[in-house]
Amino acid sequence: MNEILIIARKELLSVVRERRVLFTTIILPIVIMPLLMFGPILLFGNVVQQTQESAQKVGVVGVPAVVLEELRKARVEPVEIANPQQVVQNREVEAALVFENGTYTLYGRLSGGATQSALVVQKVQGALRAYKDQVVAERLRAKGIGPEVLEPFKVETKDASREQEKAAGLFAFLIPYFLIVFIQAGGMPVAVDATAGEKEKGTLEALLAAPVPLVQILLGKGLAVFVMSLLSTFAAIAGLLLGGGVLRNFFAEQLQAVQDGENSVQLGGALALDPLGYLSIALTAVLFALLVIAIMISLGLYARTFKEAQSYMSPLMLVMIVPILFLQFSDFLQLQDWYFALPFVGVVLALDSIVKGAATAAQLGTTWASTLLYAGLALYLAYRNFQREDVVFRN
Amino acid sequence: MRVYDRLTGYEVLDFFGSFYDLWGPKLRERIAWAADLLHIEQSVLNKQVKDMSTGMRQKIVIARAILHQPQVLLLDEATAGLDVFARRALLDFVRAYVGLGKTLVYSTHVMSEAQEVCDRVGFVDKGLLVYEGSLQEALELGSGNLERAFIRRLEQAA
Repeated sequence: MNEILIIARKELLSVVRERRVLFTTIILPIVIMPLLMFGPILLFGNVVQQTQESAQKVGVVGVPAVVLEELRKARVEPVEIANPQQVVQNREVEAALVFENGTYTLYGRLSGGATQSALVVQKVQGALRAYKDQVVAERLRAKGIGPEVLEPFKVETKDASREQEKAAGLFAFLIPYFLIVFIQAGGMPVAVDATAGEKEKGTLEALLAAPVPLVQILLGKGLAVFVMSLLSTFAAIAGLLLGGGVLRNFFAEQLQAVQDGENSVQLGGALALDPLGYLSIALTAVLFALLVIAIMISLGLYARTFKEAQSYMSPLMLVMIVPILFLQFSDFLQLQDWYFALPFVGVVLALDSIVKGAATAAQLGTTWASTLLYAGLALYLAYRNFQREDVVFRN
Repeated sequence: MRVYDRLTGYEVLDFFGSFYDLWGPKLRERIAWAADLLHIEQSVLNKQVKDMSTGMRQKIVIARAILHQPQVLLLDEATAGLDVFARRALLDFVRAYVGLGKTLVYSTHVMSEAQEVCDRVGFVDKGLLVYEGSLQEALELGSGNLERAFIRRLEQAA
């Protein structure tokens, strides 16, 4: 046991002295991740707010004066134009409104995600809706009918999600993503340095000549990778929580602007789990880390050089991210318990279920047992690799 | 000179010494003994290996190898790439280590070094030991010159 700790300490000491690695695994997640996650949303919030408060030019063709008045009320500035399609394309105006043969045609740049033009189109639509309601109400009044006839009943929609799921917001998706990405990204530099790095630098021979059982060398290196993986993951989550807190406390106005839009985005969020939920997340993350670390060490021992090891390990990230992409559609799937036994997929599903407060004991048990089994197999493979001279001295 | 370059000289010795049941004061004492034998100064021990000269690195590598005081030590081309002072210090170490009653196998292409530090000499050609004898016998074979002895032995073998 002592030898394992000595080897782990040596690996960590080497990493701590490498400022580049320390920066990318610990500092970067704390500083950059909140900016990456919330920066664009914040910027979008500002744009939404500005668009709502200021008046944008809207081209008009044949639009009656009463509608022009409604447009001005909705904070847009109507300007007479000749070719609506062209002026919108050329960005001379954000949108254009044409009235012809009783039809209003609205032009806007609506492709390519959230555009300012789309927001202006929403303002014009709002103005037209207000005018339409006004006309309908007047016509009904002329016939002696109250406007309430148009609304024979009310429709109310209520969110029936679990409290944890409501509170989690963006976290429901981000927690599995962050855990998985940072467990690998944080551990990779140490895994590469401790395996292929040692082979390339020629320092492995001296270590192998020391009177230490191979399995202890392997476990010592694994422990160092494990520590860095978890540190990096904690740093990323701390960065995310920090970013979320700053956003809610200092940029509440912009946040409100984004959340009030038609396609509102639930930003930040907070985990509302009981202690057992947090423990479950931690246990799932630890077991997953064991699996990833064992795979990375196995690949690193097989690789001849630093670069070769990186080229083997990078695709691993893609393999692990695929289940997260599918997670977006998990609501459309009828989840079976055996899905939780699938490598990587099970971990993603388990984390998602824990965060949403929907995990069952059977599902979690399946994920934990299967992940432990996969980790054991991967560790055994790494040990077998370490025993083979043709692998260790594959230069 | 392959050694963990981001550790200090002391940390390298501490790391490897720990595997030989050397702990606390005993380990510190052994590191001081190896440093003294190789003339490694404390300031060098406190430096990271990446900041050391080739000669200093070589001394750390050898100190690492003798921490557990092995009965037999094999040095292969130990002076390659060393400057005059570092080479001299290393050759002095070889004599000092042998003086402790240990056996040291010194592999080199530089015959003058072998002549200076060895008691017994062996010539290896194409992986085969073609001659073995005392230094005195080898010098007689080469009329007082070890390089000439080596060439003559190979000519005889051919």
